[in-house]
Amino acid sequence: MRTLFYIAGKDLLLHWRDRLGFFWWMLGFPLLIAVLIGLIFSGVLEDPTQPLRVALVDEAGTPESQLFAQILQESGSVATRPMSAGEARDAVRTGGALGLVILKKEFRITPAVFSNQRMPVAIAMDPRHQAESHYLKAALNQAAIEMLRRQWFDPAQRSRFIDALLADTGRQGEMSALERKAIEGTLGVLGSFFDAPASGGKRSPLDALSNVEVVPVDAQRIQPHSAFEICFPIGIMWGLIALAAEFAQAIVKERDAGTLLRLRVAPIARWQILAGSGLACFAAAVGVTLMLLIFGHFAFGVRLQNPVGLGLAIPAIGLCFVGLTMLLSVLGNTESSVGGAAWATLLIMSMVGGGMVPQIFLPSWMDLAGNLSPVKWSIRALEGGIWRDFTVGEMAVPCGILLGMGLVCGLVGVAIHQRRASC
Amino acid sequence: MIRVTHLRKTYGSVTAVDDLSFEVRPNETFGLLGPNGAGKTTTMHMLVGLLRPDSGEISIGGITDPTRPEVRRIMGIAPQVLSLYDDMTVRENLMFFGRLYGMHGRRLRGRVKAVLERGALTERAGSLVKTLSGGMQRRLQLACALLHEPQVLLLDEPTVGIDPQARHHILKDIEDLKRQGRTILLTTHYMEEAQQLCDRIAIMDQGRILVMDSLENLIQSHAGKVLVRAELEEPAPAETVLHSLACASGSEWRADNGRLRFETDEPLEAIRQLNAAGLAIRRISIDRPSLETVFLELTGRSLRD
Repeated sequence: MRTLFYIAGKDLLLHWRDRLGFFWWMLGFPLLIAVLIGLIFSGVLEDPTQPLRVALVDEAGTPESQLFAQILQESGSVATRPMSAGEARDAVRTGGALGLVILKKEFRITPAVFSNQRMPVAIAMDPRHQAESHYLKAALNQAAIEMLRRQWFDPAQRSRFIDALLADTGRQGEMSALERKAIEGTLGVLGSFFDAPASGGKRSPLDALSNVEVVPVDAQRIQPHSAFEICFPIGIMWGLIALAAEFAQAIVKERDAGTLLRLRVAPIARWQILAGSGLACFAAAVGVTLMLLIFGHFAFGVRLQNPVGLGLAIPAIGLCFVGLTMLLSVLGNTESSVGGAAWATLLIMSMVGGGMVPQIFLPSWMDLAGNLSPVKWSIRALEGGIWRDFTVGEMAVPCGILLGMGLVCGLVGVAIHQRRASC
Repeated sequence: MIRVTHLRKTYGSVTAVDDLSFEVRPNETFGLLGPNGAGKTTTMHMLVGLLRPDSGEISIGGITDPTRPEVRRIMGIAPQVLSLYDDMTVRENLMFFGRLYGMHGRRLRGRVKAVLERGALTERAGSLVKTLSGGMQRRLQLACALLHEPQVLLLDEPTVGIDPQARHHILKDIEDLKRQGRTILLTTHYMEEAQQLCDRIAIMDQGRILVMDSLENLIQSHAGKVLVRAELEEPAPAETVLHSLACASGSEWRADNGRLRFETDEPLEAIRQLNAAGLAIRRISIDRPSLETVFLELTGRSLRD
């Protein structure tokens, strides 16, 4: 076992001697990638602690539309800015707002509750923020339910609600005073029921209904706090890609420089030579990942909210890249050919695995192809520890796949090494 | 100590080593002499287990598997290619290789100090290997081989590619090791090295051993007589001169410039006879036959062809 540490120590020392190359390829370059991609996509993913910034165009101007706008603003999910239609479009076009909400002219009562019509509300989103449209729709639904609750509970509003409802359905003159009283009473009871605390609990049934609506909105909020939480795993991948290429070249260099010959005539087993290099590669991979994560945490607020998940992910990623390094090191006979082949292979893996563009923006077919790339599963595992909040069971999937990939690549690489060496 | 029996190694259609058999006795310095491509390095690599022979047997210290750790612990090898880490210091290289041989702590430090002194590298112990001269790198290569005090030393072209001064230093070092009674197997294509260092020599060509014997026996058997060239003080009658050299063969006498050229097994006796005949010698040169002559005799080619 000591021998492995001696060989690993020697490999790390040799890499350390090339400090500029080490820092640039394994720390500087990935950091730059993470920061640049983070800045590029920083507008895409808004900080979920901040409400969505949208422009509000109230074309109806009715008490109901104003109440709706007020409820929307009070929800805390959306920050509305009242504007004219033209101003709202300009705000979205220039990036001043992520989208706009139009309360249409026909917005009079709580929309589409009884008439099975579309909600008289329209939204338009900045093309770069299409993903947030679902969140905005959920927020609008939640506001509509809250509006119903208020209309049914408050007698004055309830009366106006029934008037508006009758006017909308064209039955205003047909209802007798008795019928009207009965409906008002029913809605009043409903309003009181929904507003009253439920038995044994502190929340009203409507609150419970609201909660049902709230859940999908919150569910969408399980997303990164900033673009850097997506881009740092990508940056880490670039660091590991550079590391794998470097170590693969170092294995070939060992052979070319003749030092492998001296190692092979020493009283150590052949597997110990490769295992020692693998140990060095693993230690460097873990070190690079930790350094970048810590830097991202302190400099860019990247959360490390799932230490157990990261504790599983980082070694699994390291082992996968060790196996990959072994395989890459047999892709050529010279240091330069292995370097070129390693970079080409890793670039393709990175492209389909979401290492160039965040996975959430990849087309579905590429996402499918990415299943074969360790880059995809490494990013998935890191995200599980950073913001996806994976359980141990959920983390087992990417980690298991990474270990499997590492094992297969490693075994193939070592077998080829052994075959070449025993000629 | 080392016994090689009917060793054979081919690469496709090329036979690198063909039916090679030899023995290196304990405390002996044995040389494999031959031109580049003769199969010396292939033989060396089979001896240390880097290559697997197609057939034949290798026995080192009675063990027939050279990859066994106990065999490797008694062997030190200085490969032909420099096998040092350029970006590590001299001391770091020695410490690393020493640890691979199971040395630690005080013993390791002591051995490193000793081999540094032997190789005159103490002052450069902290220098990166890439900053050393070619000669120093060769000396460090030898130091690495000696670090674990091996009984058997395999030196594959130990002086290739270095300047005469560095070469002299290394040859002196090997002579010291020889005096210490180490068993040394040396491959070289420099006949002077083989002549200077080896107790017995096997001359290899095209994967085969052509002859194997001590230097004297090889020369006696294959290299012919000593060539003597002399210039007399004064011209003398040809009969007198040639008569006095009855023991010499192929004698040639040119009276015009008093020059004499002949071959003999006993050059000193021939000179004595010339003096006895009253012929004063102004200049004389004696060319002893060398391994080069032996190789030429055996193959019809020069070692450096």
